[in-house]
Amino acid sequence: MGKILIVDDSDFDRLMIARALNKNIEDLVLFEFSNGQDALDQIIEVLPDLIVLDVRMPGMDGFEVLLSIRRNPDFKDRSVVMLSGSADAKDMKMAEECGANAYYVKPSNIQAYYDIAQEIQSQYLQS
Amino acid sequence: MMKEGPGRVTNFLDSILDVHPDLICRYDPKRTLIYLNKSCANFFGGTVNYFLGKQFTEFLPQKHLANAEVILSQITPKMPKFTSMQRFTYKDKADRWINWTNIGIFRPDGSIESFQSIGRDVTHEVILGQITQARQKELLSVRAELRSVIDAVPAMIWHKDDKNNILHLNEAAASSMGLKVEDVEGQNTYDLFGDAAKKYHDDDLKVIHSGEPYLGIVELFTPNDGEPGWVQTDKIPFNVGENTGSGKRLLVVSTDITKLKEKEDLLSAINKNLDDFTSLTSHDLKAPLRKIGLSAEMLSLGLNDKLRCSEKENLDDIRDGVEHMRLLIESFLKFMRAAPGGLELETLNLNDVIYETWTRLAPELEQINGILNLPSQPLNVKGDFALLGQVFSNLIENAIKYRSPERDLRIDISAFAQARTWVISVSDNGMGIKKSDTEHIFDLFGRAKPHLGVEGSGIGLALCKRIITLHGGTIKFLPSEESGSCFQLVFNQSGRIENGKNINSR
Repeated sequence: MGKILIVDDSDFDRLMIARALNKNIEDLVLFEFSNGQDALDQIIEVLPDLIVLDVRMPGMDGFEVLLSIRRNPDFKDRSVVMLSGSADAKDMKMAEECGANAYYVKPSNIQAYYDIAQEIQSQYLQS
Repeated sequence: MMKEGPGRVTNFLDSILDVHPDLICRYDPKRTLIYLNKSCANFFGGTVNYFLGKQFTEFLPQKHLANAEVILSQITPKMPKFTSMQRFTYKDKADRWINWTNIGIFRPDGSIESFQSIGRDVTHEVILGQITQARQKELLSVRAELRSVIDAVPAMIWHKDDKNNILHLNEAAASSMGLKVEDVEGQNTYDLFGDAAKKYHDDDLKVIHSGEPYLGIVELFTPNDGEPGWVQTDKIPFNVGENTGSGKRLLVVSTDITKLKEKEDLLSAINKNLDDFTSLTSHDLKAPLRKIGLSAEMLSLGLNDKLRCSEKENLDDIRDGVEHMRLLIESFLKFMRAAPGGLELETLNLNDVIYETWTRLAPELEQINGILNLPSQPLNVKGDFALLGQVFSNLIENAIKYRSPERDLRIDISAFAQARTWVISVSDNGMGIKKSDTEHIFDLFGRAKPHLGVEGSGIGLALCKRIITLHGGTIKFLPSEESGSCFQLVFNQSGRIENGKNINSR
């Protein structure tokens, strides 16, 4: 049970994590956005339990979106998980500094997606 | 008969005058000698008695005589004393310099009674003076030479004391202050620049008092009539000894590094761009790759029981290829980011690297009936697994590509230890490389020869060399009389490895 908001400019990447989350979590409600601004505009209405954020996106990048979320008193303690194509240590450090709860590198096989979904569900999805 | 008293006095004075080194003589207006001491007689080469009663016109050489007459004619009751210096050449004796003091003794009516001349031999002083003068001239020329040397130096040089006085400086330094050397030397910088001088003086004092040089100060500097730029300054303290006016001194040398700094800034901007480019490119390459790999996997899962065996293998090949390319991109990213010494190296067994490469290439080798012999001992080196794997797979792929059509391929990888290094050779029985072609094989795009029907990028060996150089190792092509190629790789040995674990890291 939970509401998860996914922000990623790649349809394919949204599909992959959505599939994995759906398989792991019952009664999941997913909201998908292809850019940060739309996600921020809708977040008040969606009131997600958890946000999955890509890092490199056109327009606002994931860090800017994360900072905006953290500045909002209603969402400053909400779980935000970064799911990025970059394995760059600089990006991981930046995510931590901006207040992300976790940072995952987008995997290259399906099982790894399931593992990430499992971890998200057990550790970061507040019920 | 002389009375006893005055006679004794005369004898007494004579005995003093005789041992006196000065040449003392007295003569009447007709130049007849009425007295001379022993020194004087000796000087002219005779005894006292010989000269007494003689006119000096009889024995003085002509040129001195004329000179003497001129001098004596100058002596009047009003100006009874006349001093002159003469270089005396007398007979065969060495030249002497004599300082003559000639005094006229006048009667009360003003007529001349006699002359007294006292000659002091000042040859030593004159020679010393000459030497001193020569030395001084030499010193001045050395100084002028040094001056032109430091003026020729493009760096700005100041020599200061602890009171902020500029003792010396070169032209470059003076012109940077908008002044002439002579206007600045000996001046206090507070007088020249007021409070603006304090900034430099504080630093100067720190250096002077600590006695430690302060080197490589890079700062903005705007010369008086020039563009602002960058200088690198060294401040070096030194002490001067007692005899040169003791004190604590400072040598300040500033070099204009504006051009260097601009280049450095440009270079770091380029590096930054390159870094951004590399990381963006790799990100953009990895995203579609992930898509291919995951799609192949989903196809394989989704069509599981509908696929034929060969079709399933095809999908697996796609995924293997994707995984290989992903690793390559990761490696390239690391490689591009790794400055020499900046690569994170771990202790590993090179044999594992070679084995992993072999398993990847085994199907291809099998297909062409090729054999690969691996070294048996663990080869502990410090390195990056993926990058080193790239080296061996490039070498093995080259061997496959350039194999001989006449015989089955055989690749031998062997290793031996030598002076804390591992010497590894990778040899094959393929087409080999002509001796004349070996020079440029490690250059980028430096392919040995175009082989009919053999694809090659011309990057492989260049990349091998870069990777190995980055690991502190070497690679070279060993020429051989036999057919085939042989590459020799040398790596520094690292800590011992046992069962895949590095003992040193415990």
